[in-house]
Amino acid sequence: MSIDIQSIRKKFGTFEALARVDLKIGSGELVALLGPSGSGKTTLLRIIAGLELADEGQILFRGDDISKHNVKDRGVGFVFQHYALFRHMTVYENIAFGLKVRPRAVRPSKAAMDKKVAELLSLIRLEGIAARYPSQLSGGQRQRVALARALAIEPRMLLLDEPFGALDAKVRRELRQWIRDLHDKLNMTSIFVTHDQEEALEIADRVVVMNAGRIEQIGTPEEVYHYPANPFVYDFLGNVNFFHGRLEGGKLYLGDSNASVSLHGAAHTAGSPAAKIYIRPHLLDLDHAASPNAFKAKVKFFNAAGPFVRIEVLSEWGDTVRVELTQERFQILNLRKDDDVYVTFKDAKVFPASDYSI
Amino acid sequence: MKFQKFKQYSVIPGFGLTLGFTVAYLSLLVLIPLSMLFIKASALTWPEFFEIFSSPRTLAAFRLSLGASLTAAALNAVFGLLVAWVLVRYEFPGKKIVDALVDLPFALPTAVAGICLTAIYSQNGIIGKYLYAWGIQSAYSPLGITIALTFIGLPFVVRTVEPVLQDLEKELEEAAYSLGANSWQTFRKVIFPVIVPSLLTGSAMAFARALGEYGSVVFIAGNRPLKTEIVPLLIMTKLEQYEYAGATAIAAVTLVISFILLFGINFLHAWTHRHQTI
Amino acid sequence: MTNPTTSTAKLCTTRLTEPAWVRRVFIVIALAFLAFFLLLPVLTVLLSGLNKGFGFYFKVMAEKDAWAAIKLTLLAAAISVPLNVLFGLASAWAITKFDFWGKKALLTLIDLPFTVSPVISGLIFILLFGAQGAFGPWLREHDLKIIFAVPGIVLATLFVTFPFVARELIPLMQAQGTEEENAAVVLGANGWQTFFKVTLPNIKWGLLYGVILCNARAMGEFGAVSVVSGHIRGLTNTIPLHVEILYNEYQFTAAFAVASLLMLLALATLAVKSWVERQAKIAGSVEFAPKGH
Repeated sequence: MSIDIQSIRKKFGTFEALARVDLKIGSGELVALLGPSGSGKTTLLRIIAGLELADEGQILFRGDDISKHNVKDRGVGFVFQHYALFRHMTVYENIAFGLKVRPRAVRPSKAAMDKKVAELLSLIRLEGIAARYPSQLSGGQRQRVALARALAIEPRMLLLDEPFGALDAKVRRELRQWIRDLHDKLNMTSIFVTHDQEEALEIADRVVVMNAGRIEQIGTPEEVYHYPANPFVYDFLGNVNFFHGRLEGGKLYLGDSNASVSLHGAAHTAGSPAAKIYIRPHLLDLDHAASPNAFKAKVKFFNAAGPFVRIEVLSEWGDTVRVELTQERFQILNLRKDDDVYVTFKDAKVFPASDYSI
Repeated sequence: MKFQKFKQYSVIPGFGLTLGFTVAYLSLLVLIPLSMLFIKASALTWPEFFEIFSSPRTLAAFRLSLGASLTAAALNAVFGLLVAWVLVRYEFPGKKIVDALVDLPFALPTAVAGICLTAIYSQNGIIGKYLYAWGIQSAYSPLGITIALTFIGLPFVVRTVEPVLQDLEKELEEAAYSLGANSWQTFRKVIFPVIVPSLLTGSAMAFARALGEYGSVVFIAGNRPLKTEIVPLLIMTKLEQYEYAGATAIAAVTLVISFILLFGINFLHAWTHRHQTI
Repeated sequence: MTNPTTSTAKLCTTRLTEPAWVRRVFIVIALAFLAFFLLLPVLTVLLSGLNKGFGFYFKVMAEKDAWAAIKLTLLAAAISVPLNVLFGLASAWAITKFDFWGKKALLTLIDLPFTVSPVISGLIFILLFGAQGAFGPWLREHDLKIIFAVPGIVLATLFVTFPFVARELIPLMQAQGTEEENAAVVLGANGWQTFFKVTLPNIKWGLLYGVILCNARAMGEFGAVSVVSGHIRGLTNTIPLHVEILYNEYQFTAAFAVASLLMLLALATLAVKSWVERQAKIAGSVEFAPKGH
């Protein structure tokens, strides 16, 4: 089912949680709302669910305005951040709750309910735990029971609030892939909130990057990662180096120094010569030999554990610059602490200095 | 612009029903009756008011009530802290029963407390006979009143300090020990500052309770005007003599003191919680 | 430097504890204090009540006035406990499940009767309904009696006991938050279903606890009831008032015999209370310590 969010505003007291947010979500999409805490992402999710009321704006489900509908009539499945499982009910009772509370006329029979719960338990691969209580389950199992409970009422869409927030790293990764697979199987419009960029980039069809009540960028994971619309998105999605500098005569001068590089991708800036330069660590390279497009620096620290070698170098003008090299490249260079090296840019993004700053 | 909303939106139903019932019940049972007291009290002229409060009997009653309540609260602060400490930190046989028994003054009707304390501390009582033999008049005296007030205030300090002692991070103490502090220094500089707010809260609650206490004191007090007559008893006496104006005036002042204490306690409570969550 | 293993071992033995003699002294002082103030009264009441034997004990109980006092006490409790449970549930629901303006003031108001002297609690009803009270003339015209009658006793009891259930439930429900209720509503439950199926099972121990405390106070209240009762034997005497009358008539053994009833009620209250606390702790610990089926 498609969702059309039109200029939604929400204030809590004087705090503006959402400032005129517009967002269209296509039927069957898996969308991530990504942002730091206080960015309004959870508020937006709760407004879509009907747990919160917007001050202004409309929400259309498949073209129908449901802004005035209450939660029950919206037909949403909601998975709460801390699962909100009913602690005095067994897994079976939790999953069947939404069916049991239906008015008698539309309540399924006991047999139908049993069948439904069994189906859902097999969907979440937790057959045989129906009689357990939430306290007897692991975090990952609770998460899946919460999901099954939300699905039991056959919602038109699935909303998940920080679905992996309370889990440890390994379970998180497993569950992430599992949710993606489940989504593909059910083909249900799903929105999840997260502050973890890796999570959003890995499983979402589209990522909505939010900040301070506004949407900064909407796009596929590739788009937002490789073509960030502004410094905030660049900074929020992955590690980044940041330099002050100025653009003069097609050349980029870094820091207060005369070190300059020319960039093929540096045409983005407008007007003023003062610029902010963002570059991801893996888009920098090191070399022993000087070259016209490089600036000089000193190796301060490196750590070769992991697929990439993380290196910190100190530039002539005193900035610490993070560089990531492949293991092969690192071995070829044979770097040592306090070596002088030359840093070259493979790519960078230049924004006018007036924009968002870190 | 919209005006500030009275209530935050929530999908949970029942707000109007429950708040309506709560406010109606509170108004009928508490607000209207209590405001009656102040309406009646405000009908008094200043000279009348002054006459009631300048009478030696009223002054003596207030002096006695405040003094005995303060002494009892102080005793409870010391022994309550000790009891809480022992209950939280040490193991000994019968601890569960002792723990349950601490709440006895909450659960025991005050009249029963009153007559049995009198029986124990009067001249023929189990303890009274020794105290009287030493010339200590333990019943029908300010001492007797203090004993009764200590009894009824006992659980307050224990029960407010206990959870704070329980929540005290072991690591905090271990850190102090590992930095070379001895037991006394650890208690003095690490533990005590943390429990001070709760200790004060508990003592203030015991004090407030003692100030208004009637049932457990009335038997042991002896109730001689100017000597062993506490404020609640004075109100009672005035009521029985149909001196409604006097009773109302004294009650209104007592109530104001109680309110001030209640606000103080709420403030202390907030302070306790601020400290607990660092 | 000392060897690290011995120093940690030393830390473990001194861990959080004082020297043994300090511990022993503390325990002895604390227990002695409690024995004087708590154990001795319990024994005094029970033994003094029985010092003329069981025959006398039951005779006192069977007396007409004693029986009337017991019945009136039960009646006052039977009216005030359910009403205050209703109030406790309603106020706790409103206060803990919603955010609204004036919540703090409401909480303070609920605390009020705890700090009001029992004598004043009775006095305010005399000022309202007594012969000289605001509604006094009207009541006399209609031949209704509240003060020095059963309704006055019920009102005074209601006043002094009404915070008990609410004060137990509010912190408990505050700690539990609103997530489960939100989940129930999203899953289609209506208000009553949410309350009975989700909230009530979570607060049952706290509720029971509040009921026990409320009942103990309702049956044992002395000061407030004393003010409004008028001490009419066989009509407006509750058990605590009956104890007072017997005591003031120097019928000490009879007074203690009746008082022993209240003592037993108090001890039963404490027993049920610690049992409830243990149940609640078990229910709570399951939450935090996942274990096999």
